[in-house]
Amino acid sequence: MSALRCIRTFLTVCLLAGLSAVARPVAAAPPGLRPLALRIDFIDVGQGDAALVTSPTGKTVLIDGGPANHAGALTAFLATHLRGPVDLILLSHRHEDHLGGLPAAVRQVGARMFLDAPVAHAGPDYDRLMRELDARGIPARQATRGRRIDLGGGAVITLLGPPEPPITGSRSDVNANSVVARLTYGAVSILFAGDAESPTEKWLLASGQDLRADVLKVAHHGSRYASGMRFLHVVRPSVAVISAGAGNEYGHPARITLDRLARSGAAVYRTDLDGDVTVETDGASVRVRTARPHGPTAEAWAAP
Amino acid sequence: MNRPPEKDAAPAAPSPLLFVDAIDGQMARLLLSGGASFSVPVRLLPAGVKEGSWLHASFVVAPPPPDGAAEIRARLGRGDDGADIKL
Repeated sequence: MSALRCIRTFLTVCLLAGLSAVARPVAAAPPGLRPLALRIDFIDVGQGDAALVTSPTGKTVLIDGGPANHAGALTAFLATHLRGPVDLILLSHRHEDHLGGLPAAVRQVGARMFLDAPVAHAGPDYDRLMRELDARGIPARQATRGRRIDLGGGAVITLLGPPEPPITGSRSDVNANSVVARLTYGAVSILFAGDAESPTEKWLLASGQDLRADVLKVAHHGSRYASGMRFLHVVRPSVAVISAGAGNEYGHPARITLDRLARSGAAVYRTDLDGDVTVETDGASVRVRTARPHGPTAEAWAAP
Repeated sequence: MNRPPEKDAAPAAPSPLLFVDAIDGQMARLLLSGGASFSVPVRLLPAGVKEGSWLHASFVVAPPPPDGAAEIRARLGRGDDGADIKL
């Protein structure tokens, strides 16, 4: 069966199942990689971010935990998809819409390790999280540029940021010093941009690090402060995932950012419209599924 | 939204006026005259406030409380040698 026929068959199956999906060949599958062995679930947690990475060997990394008022959605998802504690919680930065759900997640499913950046932002939600970790003796690690996390089976996260030295005097230094993580598996890469804004993008571009990614977790819920054209031109994502709450009061994602993503050629998925967005890859191709039927963007992108 | 009678109108003040639109259980929905709305726990409001009340809002910058989280975070990270991580 040709690759194109495989894609068409897969799309048909998904459409019949009431799902929306896109498959895109990236390169020949490296030897030894199981098909569609790496999975990333961008969980619909309202106005916030939460993504669960599941490696080919079953190791799990929870990147952010959404806001406290959607902790129930997060813990329900984790309870369904995990058979034990999450192996690592990676907190991109200490804003409530990224960490508010984590205390409940730690309480209900547990964690083996925690990692964040040393940017001080001492709110009551972070205090609650620290107390939950402390009560369970969960060790903490620091996010530093270049540090690698081996998820097993060939999946590796490389931390591209937080910026060194830390960015100061920006619109939001907490956002600007987000942990930026690049996950690679075979020929496929996924960039988690946290809430990084334009000063971070400039720093990343100047750092000379490999920013190329097939899938981009769009920074800061698609706000106008991030995802500049120069950055998108270097990342060149085929798929962009925006995590935002339906009808949120911030107006995320911003029209100007959606326009920039459209100009970049990326198929845009949004948790506020699509519900949970699942990305799977075998290291050579990327498949996207959505909990709710997807809009016309991906269909147009998937057309031969 | 019903404005209070003229005799009860608050004097001109730099603090914004908030309208108590609804009280539902432990939460109150407040409307800012500019159109924004937000919810706050009822326990943060002055005694006697009910739906239809008007409030002056003011905030005062406070010194931060002791940062217990920093001490916990430092302790949990004591074994961190900075090396790459294998899950």
